[in-house]
Amino acid sequence: MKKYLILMVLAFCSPMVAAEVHLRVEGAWIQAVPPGIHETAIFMVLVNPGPEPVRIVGGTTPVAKRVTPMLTTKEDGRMGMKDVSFFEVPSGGRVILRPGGDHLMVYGLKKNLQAGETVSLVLQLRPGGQVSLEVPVSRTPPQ
Amino acid sequence: MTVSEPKVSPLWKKLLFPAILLLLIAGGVAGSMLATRDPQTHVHGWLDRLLWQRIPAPDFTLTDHNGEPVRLSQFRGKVVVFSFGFTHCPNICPATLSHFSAIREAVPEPIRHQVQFLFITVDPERDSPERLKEYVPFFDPHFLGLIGTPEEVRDVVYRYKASFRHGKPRAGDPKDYFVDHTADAFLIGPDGQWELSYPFEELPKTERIAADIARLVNVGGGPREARRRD
Repeated sequence: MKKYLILMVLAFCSPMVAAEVHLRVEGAWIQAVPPGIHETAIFMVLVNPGPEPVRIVGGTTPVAKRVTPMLTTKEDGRMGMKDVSFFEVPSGGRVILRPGGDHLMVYGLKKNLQAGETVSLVLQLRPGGQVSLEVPVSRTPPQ
Repeated sequence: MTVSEPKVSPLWKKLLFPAILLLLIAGGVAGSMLATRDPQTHVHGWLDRLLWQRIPAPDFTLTDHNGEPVRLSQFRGKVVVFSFGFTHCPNICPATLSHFSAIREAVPEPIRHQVQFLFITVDPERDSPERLKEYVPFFDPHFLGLIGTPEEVRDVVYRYKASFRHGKPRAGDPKDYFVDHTADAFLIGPDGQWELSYPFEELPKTERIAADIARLVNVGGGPREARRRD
């Protein structure tokens, strides 16, 4: 009986051990957009307390087709965007995604998001692992 | 014939030179004080790091999101704040319009109706009055979205020393492209003067910008006028 109990505990523990993800997500939110608009952005602070750098290559959410890392650029006084394949959070460092700056770009919204509701988001990491979180919808940065 | 010499009082003669000297010094000090109060270098109370203009705002006629023609000069008597953008913009434009909304909220209620916020699309190829009507009032029902032909839009952008550039179609879809654009906000006074531009990075300072707007509404003129009346 004791043996089975240990096995069960191990079974419950194993996904956490396998992930070994040292990534903390703070203050995540998704920009509410009007009906008929199918692109939006997700903002958050990514904190990496671990010993290795962590890369976020994108995400998945049931409410949109694609979630990808996007840089904000400024060139000749023009603000613009540039696709990147990942955000890297250095060991002991953080990456801030905020309005008007770098963000996770959301393509192909499948439904209109109402301020106050939350959407599920799974961040895909490299070399492996993922982080699941609930992201509130808001028109402005939550205080 | 005798030449009568003008009689000069000895005291007057003694004081003449020091008096002139004193005047010169006072003039110099006053002059240098005025110079340091020049609005270009030292602006009292106005949000710093602005792009100063203070020239008559180039007028333009575009179509608003209700399909009605709109002329900038028809807002004479109000403060106008506008910026360029596009509705497929997921990040910069929602941020700008959210800031505009917060700025409007920060303007004292009694004079809030004397400010008009405009959003001019630089993507008339994909945007339409209907689409702007869905997008712009979402952030604040008092805002007005404007559109024109590509030529009209280019002309407005050019006259405000701004710029934009449509990116290459992404993933082979001709309707899928980014638009890089100037994200400054332009401030037009009630007298139709283009007062200044706020760089995008300054827009979170909503209270300060609201104070600038309130000052323009109350004084009627720009920073220079306000300074004179201080």
